[in-house]
Amino acid sequence: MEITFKDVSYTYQPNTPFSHQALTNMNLTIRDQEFVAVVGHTGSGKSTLLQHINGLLIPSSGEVQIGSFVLSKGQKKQDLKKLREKVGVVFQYPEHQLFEETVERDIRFAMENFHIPKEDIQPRIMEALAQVNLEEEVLAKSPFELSGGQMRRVAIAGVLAMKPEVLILDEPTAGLDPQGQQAIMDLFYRIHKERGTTTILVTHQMADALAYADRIIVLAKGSMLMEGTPEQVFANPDLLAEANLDMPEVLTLLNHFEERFGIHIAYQRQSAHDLAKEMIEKLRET
Amino acid sequence: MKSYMIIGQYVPGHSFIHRLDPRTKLMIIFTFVFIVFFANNLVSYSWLTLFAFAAVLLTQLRLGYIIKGITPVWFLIVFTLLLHIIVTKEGPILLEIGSFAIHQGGIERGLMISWRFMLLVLVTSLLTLTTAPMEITDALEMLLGPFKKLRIPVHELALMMSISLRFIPTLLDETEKISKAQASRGVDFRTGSMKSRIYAIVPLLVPLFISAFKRAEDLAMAMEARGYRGSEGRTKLRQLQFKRIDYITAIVYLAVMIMFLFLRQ
Ligand SMILES: Nc1ncnc2c1ncn2[C@@H]1O[C@H](COP(=O)(O)OP(=O)(O)O)[C@@H](O)[C@H]1O
Ligand SMILES: [Mg+2]
Repeated sequence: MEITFKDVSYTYQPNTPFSHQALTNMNLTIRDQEFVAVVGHTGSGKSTLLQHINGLLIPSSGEVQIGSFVLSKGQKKQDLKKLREKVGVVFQYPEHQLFEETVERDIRFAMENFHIPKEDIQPRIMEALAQVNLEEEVLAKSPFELSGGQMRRVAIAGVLAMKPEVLILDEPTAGLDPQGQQAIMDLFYRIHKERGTTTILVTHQMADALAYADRIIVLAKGSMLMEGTPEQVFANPDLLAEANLDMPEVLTLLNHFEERFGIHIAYQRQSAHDLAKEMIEKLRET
Repeated sequence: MKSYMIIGQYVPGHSFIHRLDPRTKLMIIFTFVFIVFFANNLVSYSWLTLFAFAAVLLTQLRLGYIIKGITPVWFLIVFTLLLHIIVTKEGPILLEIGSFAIHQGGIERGLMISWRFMLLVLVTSLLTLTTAPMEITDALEMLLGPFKKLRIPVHELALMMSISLRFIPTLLDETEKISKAQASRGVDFRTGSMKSRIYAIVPLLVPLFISAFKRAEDLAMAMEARGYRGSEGRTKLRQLQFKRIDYITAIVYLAVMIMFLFLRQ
């Protein structure tokens, strides 16, 4: 589904001493099946932006269009459930939303709310469970017996089982160990490729933005500071510094490498291993 | 939290009232609550109203915001007024509809009581609007200090109060986050039958309780790790100290109240 923001502003608690404008005149388009990373300093409005996409927040002014749904302030009430069925959200620390007695019932919860046909539910649970790499035994356990990382996987399985057309990820790997982070990001990327899911990822890890995104949107103080392909965005270290963001380590390394040896290596999502090999080869040649 | 409005929620600032010692504010409000009940004529009521509005002006908060903050109480004020008008049967009859009569005494009394009520709410909301919760607890603990002799655990009570106050915003924040997460999973908190709405609360309450217990456990652990052992021999980082503005305020307040005694009948 295509997502468009037209002149969207959002103010929390308007008309009180606490009023705070979190988004200012956002204009952006996310194409169908695109993978977009949203980066920015804490408080720059990333989560606020995301919550407009499934109607948790309605713009204070301007409008958001998601597929055929239009969200704007003047609009009469509509069935947001239809929208939320198609837009899956993995919140920050999604394990905090678990509440059911067993893992199975928790994964089932959203599907029942959205009236997925009964006979589809069980296969979808099994599929999602395999995707997040959990054993079948956990299904009967209470989610609260599991480790933090497993709970996170259960919560993610609940979202994936819905087979959403749009997947919204708000720092989905925060607080996980490095292997866990890698596994989860690879999973989302695979789903994005296999199902053509439009994916919007908020992340603090520039390496993830670089590795997975077709396009990066840089937010600062509620406005868009920059957008473009990872190559374009990371060619702009000054603007990045203005948004309080770092360069991805691998790009810094390649830049230093070029400075030191005068050899240019283009970053094409190589693994660290392949990159090291490539460096050694290039150095041998000279 | 944040999208909820809390009645009399603290608004940080540097106004005259903000800078007063919380004990000064507490004592003034505590005595004011009693004194309001002694107002018995138009002049004395107006005098107290004048005092209240002067205090409002000194907070430098928008009057509109303060009034909005006490909206839930407006209903009670109007209700009190109507009740008195209907129930009181004193003085000459002003209006008679069938067997139902409105007496002058009813209107007078109704106006007085609801006016009193409004003054009380207004002045007490000024305390919470201009004083951080922690300041209020510190002030209470100091003012109630003498009761320790009676073996009342003043310090512990104050600590309980400050911990609860400290976690209200956190819990509201948490509530908002979890209800957004469940709404994204298809829970509908707003529409549907009464029964389905009550069921919709379960996915909200369970995670909320779990996180509250977790927080309580963490807090207890952290306090113990830092050697907290109750009030015995404990000193304070923030010492409350009366300053010149407190003495000035006390004198002015006293003068206002003496004047009030002359104004009432
Ligand atoms: N519910 C809320 N009420 C008031 N202000 C909020 C609320 N949520 C977020 N904010 C404020 O809006 C700004 C943007 O927040 P957010 O979108 O959460 O930023 P990010 O996700 O980029 O860290 C922050 O300054 C934050 O304090
Ligand atoms: Mg955020």
